[in-house]
Formats: sequence, structure tokens, C-alpha cells
Amino acid sequence: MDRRTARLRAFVFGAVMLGGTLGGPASAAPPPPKRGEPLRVYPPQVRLDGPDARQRLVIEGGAGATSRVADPRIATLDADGRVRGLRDGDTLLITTRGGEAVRTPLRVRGSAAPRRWSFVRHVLPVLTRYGCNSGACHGAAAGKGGLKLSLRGYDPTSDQAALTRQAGARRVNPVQPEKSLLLGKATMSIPHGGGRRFELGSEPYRWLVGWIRAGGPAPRAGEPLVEALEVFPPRARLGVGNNRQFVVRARYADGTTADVTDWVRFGSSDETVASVDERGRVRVAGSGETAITAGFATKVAFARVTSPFKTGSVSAAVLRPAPERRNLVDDQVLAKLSDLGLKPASIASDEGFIRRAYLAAAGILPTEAEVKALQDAARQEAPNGVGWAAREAVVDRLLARPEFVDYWTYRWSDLLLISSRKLPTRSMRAFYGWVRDQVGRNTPWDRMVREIITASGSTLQNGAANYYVLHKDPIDLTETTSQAFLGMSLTCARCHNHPLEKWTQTDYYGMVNLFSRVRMKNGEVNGETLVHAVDTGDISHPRTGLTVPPRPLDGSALEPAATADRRAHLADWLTSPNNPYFARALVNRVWRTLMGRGIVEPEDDLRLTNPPTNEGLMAALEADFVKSGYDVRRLIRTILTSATFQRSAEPAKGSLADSRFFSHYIPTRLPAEVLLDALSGVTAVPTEFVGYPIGTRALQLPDSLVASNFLTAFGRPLRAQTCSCERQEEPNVAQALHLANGDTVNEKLRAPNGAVARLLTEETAAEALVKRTYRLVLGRDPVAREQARMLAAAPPAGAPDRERREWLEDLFAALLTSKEFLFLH
Amino acid sequence: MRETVPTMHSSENDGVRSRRWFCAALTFGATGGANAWAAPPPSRRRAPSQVPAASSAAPAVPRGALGFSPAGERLAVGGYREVEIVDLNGGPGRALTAEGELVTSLAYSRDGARLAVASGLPGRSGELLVFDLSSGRPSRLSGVHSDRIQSVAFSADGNFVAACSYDRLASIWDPKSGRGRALKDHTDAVYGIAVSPDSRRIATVSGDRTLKIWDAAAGRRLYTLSDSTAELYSVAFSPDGSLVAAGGADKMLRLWKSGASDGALFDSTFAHEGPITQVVFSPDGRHVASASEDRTVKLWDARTLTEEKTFPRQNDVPLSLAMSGSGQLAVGRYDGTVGMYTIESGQYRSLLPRGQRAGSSRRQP
Repeated sequence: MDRRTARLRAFVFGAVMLGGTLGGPASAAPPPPKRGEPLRVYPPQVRLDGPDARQRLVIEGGAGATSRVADPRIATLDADGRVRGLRDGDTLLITTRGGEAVRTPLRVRGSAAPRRWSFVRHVLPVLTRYGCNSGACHGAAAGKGGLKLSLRGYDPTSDQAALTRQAGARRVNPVQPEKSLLLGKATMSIPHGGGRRFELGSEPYRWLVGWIRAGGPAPRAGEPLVEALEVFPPRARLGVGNNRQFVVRARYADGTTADVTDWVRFGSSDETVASVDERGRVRVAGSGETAITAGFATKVAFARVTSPFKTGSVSAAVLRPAPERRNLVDDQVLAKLSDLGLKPASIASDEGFIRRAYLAAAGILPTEAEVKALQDAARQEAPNGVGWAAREAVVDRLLARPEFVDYWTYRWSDLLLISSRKLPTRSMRAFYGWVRDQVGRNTPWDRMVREIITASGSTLQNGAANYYVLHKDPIDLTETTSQAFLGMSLTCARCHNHPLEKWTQTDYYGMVNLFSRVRMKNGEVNGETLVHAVDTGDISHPRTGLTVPPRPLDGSALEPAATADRRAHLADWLTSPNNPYFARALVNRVWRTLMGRGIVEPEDDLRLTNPPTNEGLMAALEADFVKSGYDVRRLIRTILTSATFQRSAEPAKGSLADSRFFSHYIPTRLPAEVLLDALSGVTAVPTEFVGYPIGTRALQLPDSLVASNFLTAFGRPLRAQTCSCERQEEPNVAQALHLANGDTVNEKLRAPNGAVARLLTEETAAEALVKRTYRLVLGRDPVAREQARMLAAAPPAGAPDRERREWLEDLFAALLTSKEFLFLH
Repeated sequence: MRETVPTMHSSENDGVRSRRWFCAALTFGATGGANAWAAPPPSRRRAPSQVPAASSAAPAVPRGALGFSPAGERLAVGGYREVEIVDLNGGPGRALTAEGELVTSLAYSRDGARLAVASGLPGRSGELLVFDLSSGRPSRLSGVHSDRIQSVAFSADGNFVAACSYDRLASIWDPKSGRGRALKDHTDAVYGIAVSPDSRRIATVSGDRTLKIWDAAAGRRLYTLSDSTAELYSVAFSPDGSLVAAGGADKMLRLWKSGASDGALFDSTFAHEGPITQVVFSPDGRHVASASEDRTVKLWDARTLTEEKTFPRQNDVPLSLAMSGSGQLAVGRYDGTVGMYTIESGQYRSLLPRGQRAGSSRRQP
């Protein structure tokens, strides 16, 4: 290129960049220039490997910027804003804006090498990008129209055979590639149920023709596969209405890279914040944060897009009064809120705090005396502020109570599916007892999980061994273990590579073989099972028929011939501080239990393409949890004593739209068991459960099969499958009818020895009855308006006892069915 | 369709051409014996550019169609828009120009005077030609199929040709009049077709997992055999007409008893690790040969369905098989190679090595 042409290119390039982005259609409307946005060029180093290699660029703060290649003999800038290699060498891409310049190293290698057509590099990306091998088309289990491809290309060898050799070799024409049925269908020159996927002569068309002309080669043994994806820019801060182009670069095992933006499956974790089109162009639609996910080959990666709720950040430092900051939770949450332009809510009242802490951490209501004690202590500590120390003392006392143990035992019993559905009653009780013992002793989470995973012996002596009675099959054990302790679903990888994660089918069966040598036999006592490990037995990979060496996902493989109990190796990997999933999964479960919403939601869907809403918070809690020796009670304490937990459920002005970043407490309906116990407690009428002593609370039931229409209606989990989705949290008509007309509430109110009867004997004045009822049910005094309305409905003084009782029952019913009672707030 | 005239060593791209170069590729493989198929003298060789399969740069033509002449002295090999007829005794070969694209199936008439050739354009049209081998003239049978014809069979009495296509239809044709009628009942691509030795029944197999037996005279379906659990690709009648064999994607080789009005599963075996692409009976009825996408070719005892022999692993997927009365089993592969086994000895003869000039060295599959 001569100097004049080079200048022209630089001019054109600069013109394209006026929009601040590159590579999109030239006609796309440019986003408004961002004042003060620093000039950044992505990728930070450009490497062009192989013939015809090109790299699309993203330039932030690109308004008014121009770019040029320092040595135009080595590379050039195409009109569409891509750098293209001309010959091998090293040079710089120089981007300037005013007096500012960014120098991006640019390396070209293999530019003169002949192109080697590859099924993996040239055909699979086309089939995946254009949806040919998607679940809705030929990637369906039964294929489509006679052609079956592996879902998103997890089995390239079979796919190549299907395209070239199956059905009488009808799909590709090696003699005249352009006449191939494959191309005719994709371009709709032959009728195709899937419609036109790409145009004649387009790049995907040329790639397929090139591959067919080269003989349609099969995937080569040892061919470098994609090791990682990089999304550029890794994070972007954009306003509503802004667009930005994202580019994706694949890094292969041989160290080469390729711009794969055109072949990536893009997605957005929150379309209400930003959407992304098939070419990687993001458009911001609302405020918040979303992950722009990119999938290519078997890899996934993501970039974050932040769209502040207000223009510019709301610095926590300038807020008056300064937001409360108690521990690492608040550091991270406030930093995120500041980044998003959200104001934190004020701190909840003492009675609001204690009610929330009791219900969220122990599933019980505080008594009137406990509320008052806190109020008194707080007033003494900080007459005009928050009694932080008094609140911490409440938390410490709460964490020492047996109800706390009941509550978390119940929580982990849900997770471990403890139920007489599959377990003999004695075994079920043994398992429950084992869990309760661990919670009571605050056994570190890693040790507790290790004891489950490596459990052997009698299921009556060692309750943890019942894990293997519940999940007999290595497939079931693999999926359950992953879901329960890593918070991720591996089920997809049973049949094909995971489409939303990096796990392959081979990874899956490596994990399966860690469980393939567990055996069971009947014990000497009725209902007893003996669990033990043997030194033979492997599960074959269903596709290859080969035995996959036992290996925990991305851990190290065991020697298949080794005779040691493989589960110990799994437990080592699972509970290792280096395992990025184990601690995180538990932290998220505990956070969700206490805060009503996970840092990752759903709580057991931790995957790369579903990142936390606050990565800093997750990482800080995770690190603290590991550092503490997996101390669950300490983790709970950290969260409960944070200002974040203690914030009001009422958002600060301007932060109403936040439901994900914890600027305020998120109200959630009480879980079924907590609600039933609360009804029993407030009315002083215990609920009877068949087979259990009177006074047993719902949260003390070891078995999910205990009959209770109320618990069923309010979504008690069946404990049939390990999934947070088992607990139904959505409202339904049955719940409304239960509360309004059902026996549960009405019988408790009518009970002769219940709270209603007791209050009527203790108080005579209607004012006092209203006040006591409010304190009992809602843990607070009524405000004047409430008091007036309730008194307006009260019977006149001297009215018959029956009328007074009916009025008080109605008052109780009104409060017990109110949102304030039913919700944790 | 151009009329073709048999000429020797024509330099034009006529329908029928000399194929001495082809004969030169016939070498004894397993024994390493003398090359009985001597290369022609240099003066009679074609220029390299006129030898389609000889250039390493030339694309391989999948060999989806093979057919022995009734006496077994010639082997017809399907190519791309042509059929090579190899004289296995060393005489000159011939080439017939076909239509469509890849030749997918071949069938000699019992008297060896005619050759049915199937091909077509996938997704567009089916092509069916019947060559009069004495004149080399083809007659074209058209008007039924809208997709490539997958398989063709000649009736023993020579009165009709049966064909089937990816378009879900089978068809019966009068080769004299060129008239054909469709057999409609399959709900997926029809991959294989065979005619009973008494010319009364036609068997078809389909992607709909069924085998159907048809009354050839009436063009009416007689019965359906539905034992398969996946697509069926190939079907063959035993020489006495009492059995019908089929195989497909469920990797099972099945034998059914087939009568005039009904049939029943007789025997089955898990035959291959991959889908079965071809099933053929030996002319004496003693053997069944099967080929599979797992790149194996196996020989089975037709009475007991026990495995008699597994031939060496093939270099590529075997797409076509043919068995001669003299005990030869020819195999055509996706990579363009064609070879022939002597069933009893297992001796292998490479007929068409891929990417090698005619007369070059022997090669195992």
C-alpha cells in the first residue's frame, strides 16, 4: 500500500470509528460520544495467525480517533475496520485521538501458509452459528429431515460422517462442491424446512465449499482445540440507548488465536438491561447490569455491561449521611451500588431487624419480650442511631439457639433429600440425626461434605451413608453431587457436551467413574444397608464405548487400575480451597436463604453464563468462608450483622427499580414450614403431625412425607430431586383459600386455649387488645391510623363475650393474612 | 442424453470409451502374484488428464454402485455421471455416460444384455437409465421421482425395473415403454429395493424403519415388517425367494421369511458397530454379506446367521457390495476405491486404488 492509500485507509477507518465501535454495519447509528471516556483499543494485542486472518477491533472513546498500521507492509486496515495480515512480522496499530495515542502490538504469523481446511475450524462454526445443529433443527435427538447432527457439534467425527457418508453420500458432492445438497439447502436453492441460512457466495458458503473441495476431511487427531474465549471489551459502562460492538477471540491449544466474532452464539443474561444481536452488537435498553455471553466450540465466556440507574455514579463517599458499613459485605455491596448509581436504603428499625433475623436465620418469630429487650439495649447504646452492638448480641444469641439448629438441619435435609420416600424410616432418621449433629456442632462444610461423599458402613450407624442409598446409580450420584455441592447442573453433559458450560461428555463420564465402584448390600438389621467401595467396575462412555479415567471435572485423573476408594480423590478435589465452585455454591445458598435472592439466581445454577450480580461480593464472601475453615455459622453471622442485611425493605428514592443489587431488603413470602410454625406460635395452638408428639414444629420434621395440606399448598419440597426449584415460591389460589377459609388458621383462632382466648382474659380494653395483637402478630405497635380502624370495628364496651371474641378473631385473621405477616421484609 | 456409440480408444468424451487404464489397476493383492492385468503398451495409454481417478488432485468419487454381470466376468462400477464396466478377464473396459451426479445403484438384467443405472440430483430429481449393452444406447425412465434414486433392481424375467428414491416413493417401470408407476406407502426416504426371483414381489426398505413387500403386478402393498428400530438402508431377496435380508441404522442384520401374503422375522443378529449400509445374498444363497459405516465387511451363513468372516478393516466406509456366482465379493468405498475379495480364500484384489495411476502398485483396502 502506498502512503496515500494508507492515509485514505486511516481516514476511512477513523470515520467508521466515529461511532465508537467497529465492525458493525456502516449505516448503524453512532452512539453519542462519551465525554471523558478514555481511549482504549481491544484486543490489547492483535495476533493474526494463518492465511487470510483478520481481527475486528473495538475502540472505546473512539469518537474522533483514527488508526493506522505502523508498517503497512505487514498488515492493513480493511474498510470494515478489521486488521488483515499481509506478511509475517511485528508492528504496531496506532490509534490517536487528539494528542492521545494507544499503541497496540500487532503480530502476523503464517500469512503465507496454505490454508488447511478443517472440519473443526471451518465447518462446525458454520453449522453452529447458523443453527443447523441446534436443538430445534438437526441437532435434535431424532435429527430433522433425515439428517442428524450432534447438538452444537459435540461429536465432530459423527457429524463429518453424517455429512459426507450417510444416506448414500447424498449431502456433499466432492466432484462439484457447489452442487452439494448441503449448500443447496442452506442457501434455499433447494427447498429447505429450515429456510435460508446464508447467501450464495457468503463467507460460510465459501468455507463449506473449500472444505468439500479439499475432500471433506474428517477432524484430525490431535488437532488444536479451542482452549479459551476472550470477549472484548471485558466490561463496558453504557447508557440506555447506547450500542457497542463486542468481539470474541478464540485461543487454541497451539497458541494461535482467531477472531471468531462472526461464529459466536451471543446471549444476554438480562434482556431488560441489554440485548445483543447475532453479530455481537449490544444495545442497552434499561438500567442494571447484564452479562453478554459468548459461546463458541465447547467454550463459553462473558463480558459485563453496566448501565447505571443514574447518569454517572453515586459515590458512596458523597452520600449524606454516609451509608452504613459494617463488614466486607457492605464494602462490596456499596461499591456495586455506587457503580450503578443506586442509593442504599436506610437501616430497618430494631423490631423490623429482629423479626427479619429470627425468621430468616431460625424460622421463628421473636417474642414481645425479645423485641423489647433489643429496643431497650439499642436505645441505651445509641439513643439517636442504630444499636449495632445490641443487634450483634441478638444475632449471637440467635445462632446459639436450638431453633437455629432445627432450621439449618431442615435446610440441609432439603438439599440432601432426606425423606422416607426412598429410605426406610430408621435410615431416614439416622441420616437426619447425622445432619442435625453436624449443624449442632457447626462442623465445617468441607468436612461435612467429605464425610457424605466418602461415607461407608452401616446406614444406621453412619447416617451419611444413606446418600448412597438415595442415589444408587453413578449417573444419579454424579448429577446430584454436582447440583448439591457445586450448585451446577451437569445433566446436559450426560448426552452431549454442555451447551452452556465448558463441561464435555468426557468430563461427565470421568466424574461418573469416581462413583462406579460403590456397592451396597443388606445389613443384619431390617432396614440397614452396608455401603462399601470395591476395586473393580467402570462405566463406559456411551458414544465411544471406552472407559474414561476417573476424573473430577477439571481435576486430575486417577490411574484407572488403582484400587483405592476413588471417592476420596473426589472429596479432595471437591473440598479443595482451589475448587472455584464448592465454597461459592454454599455461600450462595446461605445468602439466598437469608437475603431472599441469591447473588446468583437460581441459587443452584452457578455457571459461567449466569454470573453473580455482584462478583466482588461473591468473591469476598467465598474467600472469607474458605479462610474461616468453611465455618457456616460464621458466614451466617457475617451476613446477618452486615448493614446490607439490616437495610429497610423500602427502597431509597430512585432505587425502586433495583431487585438484584441489594440496595434494599427484598421481601419474600415466608417458606411453608416457617409460616405454619409462625401461625402456630402466634396463636399458641401447635399444629399436630401424625406420628409426632404435640408441639413438634414443622421445621423439626425430619421427613418430607409427613402429611400436611398446608405445607403442600405453600410449596414444601418433595425432596425427590436435588433442585432448588422443588420449593414452590409462587402464590396460588390454594394458598389464598387456605388462609381465608382453610382449617389451619380458623381452628387456631377458635381454639379454646389459644392466644385469642388468653388475650381476652388478660386485657379488657379494646385499645390494649389491638396493641397486644399487633405486637404479637407483627412485632410492632399499630400506627394511629391502624389503631383507629381496628377500634372502629370493635364491639361497644359491655358487649357480650361472643362478640368480643369474634372481633378479636377477625383482627387476628386480618393480621395473619396480611402481607406484613406473610412476608419476610 | 447423448446417444453413445461404442468405439475403442476414442479421444472424445463419448458415452462409451475404452478403459484399458482401468484394467491396469486390477492387481492381485493378497498373494503378491504375477500381475495378470498387464498395463497397456504406452502408445495406447491415455494422457494423464484424461484419466479421472488417476490424478492425486482429482476428487474421489464415492463408489456407491457396483454390479456383477450375471456370468460374473464383468463388474459395473458407478462413477460420477458415468459407469465403468470392467472386464475381469483383462479385456478392454467400457464407459457409459450417465446423467445426474453420482451413480447410486446398478442392476444387470438376468441375460446380461441390459444395465439399469440410477442416479439423480439430491433434492431435485431422480435419473434412471436402462442401457442396451450391445448398442450402448440408453433409454430414459422418467416422470415419477423428484429426488435422487437410491436403489434399482431388475426383475428376473426382465419385464420391469424397480427403483426407489429419497422422495419416499418406490416405482415400477416398463423398460420398453418407459412408463412407470409409483408405489406410495413409505413415510420416509426409501433407501433399498429388491425384486424376488420369481419377479412377483418387490421388497423396499425405508427411513421409516419398515420393510414393505409389494405385489409387483398390481403395484399394491402386501404387508409390512416392522421389527427394525431405526432407519433401514438395504434389502435383498434370497435366490430362492423365501427369505429377505435387510440392515440399517440399528446395526442389526435381520432375516424374514417372506411369503406371498405375509412374512415374519426369521432370525436377527447384532452385526456391526455402525449402521449397515449394504446387504447382499450370494447367488448360491449360502451367504449374506454386509457392509457398515464402521468400515467392516462381514460374511454370514445365510441359514444360521452366524458370522463366517470379517474382512480386513476398510480404509473408508464401504458404500456398495456385489457378489458373483464365482465367489467374488466386490466392495466400493467412499474414498473412490474398489476392491474384490475371493470369498473362500480371502484373497484381495485392488481394482481401483484411489489417487493412483492405472497400473500402479497393489494396495490393501
